[in-house]
Amino acid sequence: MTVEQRAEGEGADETWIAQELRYASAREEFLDFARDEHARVVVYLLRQKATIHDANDAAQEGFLEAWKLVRLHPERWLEINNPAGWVRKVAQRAWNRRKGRAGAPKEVPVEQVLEGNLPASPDSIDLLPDTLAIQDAISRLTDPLGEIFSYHRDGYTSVEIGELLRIGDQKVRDHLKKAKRRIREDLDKRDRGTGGRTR
Amino acid sequence: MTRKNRLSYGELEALLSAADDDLTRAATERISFTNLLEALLAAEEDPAEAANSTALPALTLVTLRQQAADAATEIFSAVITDLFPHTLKDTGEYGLWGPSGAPSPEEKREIFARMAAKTSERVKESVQRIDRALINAEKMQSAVPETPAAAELETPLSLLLRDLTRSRKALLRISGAFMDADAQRTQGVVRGLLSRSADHVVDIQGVLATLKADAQGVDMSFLEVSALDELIGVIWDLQTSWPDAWFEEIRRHSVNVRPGVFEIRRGLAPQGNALVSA
Repeated sequence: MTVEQRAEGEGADETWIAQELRYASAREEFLDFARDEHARVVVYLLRQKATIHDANDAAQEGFLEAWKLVRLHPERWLEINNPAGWVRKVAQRAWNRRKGRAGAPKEVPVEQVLEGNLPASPDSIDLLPDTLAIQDAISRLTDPLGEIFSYHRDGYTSVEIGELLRIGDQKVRDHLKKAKRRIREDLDKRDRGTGGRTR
Repeated sequence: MTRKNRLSYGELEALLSAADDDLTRAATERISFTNLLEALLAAEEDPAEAANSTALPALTLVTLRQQAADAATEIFSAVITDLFPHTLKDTGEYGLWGPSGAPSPEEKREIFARMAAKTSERVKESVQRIDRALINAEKMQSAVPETPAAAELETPLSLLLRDLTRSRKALLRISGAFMDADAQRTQGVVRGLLSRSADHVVDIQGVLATLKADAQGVDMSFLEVSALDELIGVIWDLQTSWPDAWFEEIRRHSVNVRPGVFEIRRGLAPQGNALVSA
């Protein structure tokens, strides 16, 4: 006797259909979520000066990891309070691994940036000078300040960031304050070097 | 506008917002959701596709597991069989070594003959056990399909057949012998070969435990299942028929791996009578 026949016989159709519908619904919801968040997760990493290629790959890794949970352990996916933050966290780790494999990012001297002597990268994207300066400033932050700052720019509250990184929200606020101060100092230093910011 | 004073937090916020807009523009220009979607859809199909492409027919896998279990039972029983009943416990049953004194030469011959007969009987039982294990091993060897997943069975299966055949030959040398040194040594050899055979069966069961089987649309209702372990890794769908006695158990231990397709897994804590949805 097949399951379908049993379902007919026992009136269990509703259970089966409900399960199938739940799966289909979770699938559609996740694809919508991925469509909405994809570019944002990439930006989250670009902000920390990931290359477009690395940011895209790391973001994909984050979504694939989430997809695995949705398909194989839906109950665990549903338990995640902040799915978009979770994907960023996984993507961040993926990018950190890439950075680790490629060696520590080389510190580019401010003078070299000012003189326009930066080597062209095949992954380089066309960005405004201010954007590049901010990317540099964020990338100079020590861990986990860059990550926290990027979460903050994506609209996450200190509590949410604290939950994602498993640190207290006061600690997050302290880190954010420090990150903003350093970015501001960095941009000021650059301004002094160029004789002022042109906007 | 040119600014030489210290950047205010308001100006910093404006700069950061403009940078975010710039990064968003660059990201949307350079990346495509279609690529991510393709990766997600490929991952969705991957486990089931991979399982299907390497899966054995479900009936084959279940039968192989049953044959391996039967072979293991026979071999383990043969390993622990003592072929020489010459311990005090064994000899005591004859009641001839008691306080009445030593047996006469005639009585001794009678005792030895009876004990030799017992050894022969045990050897015969062991040979029969090995024969049944050999039959199962030969059936397994001919039933293993030529798939990459099943290829790992080849080596332990051929080793099992070799060691079982050797142990059978060695056993037949003992038949009729009684307590001589050569027979004792031969028993040691037989035990060694049977222990190795037991290891090979365990290896085979280990490989079989990892294999997947495809029962989609298959009528499995006539299957004689003795334990759920035989069904672990079987992928089935709504068209699969199961034996009535096993249906609820199967349902409780199945996960929904994709729409309409389920996989029987080990160790799923049954919750009510609902099938675990994935």
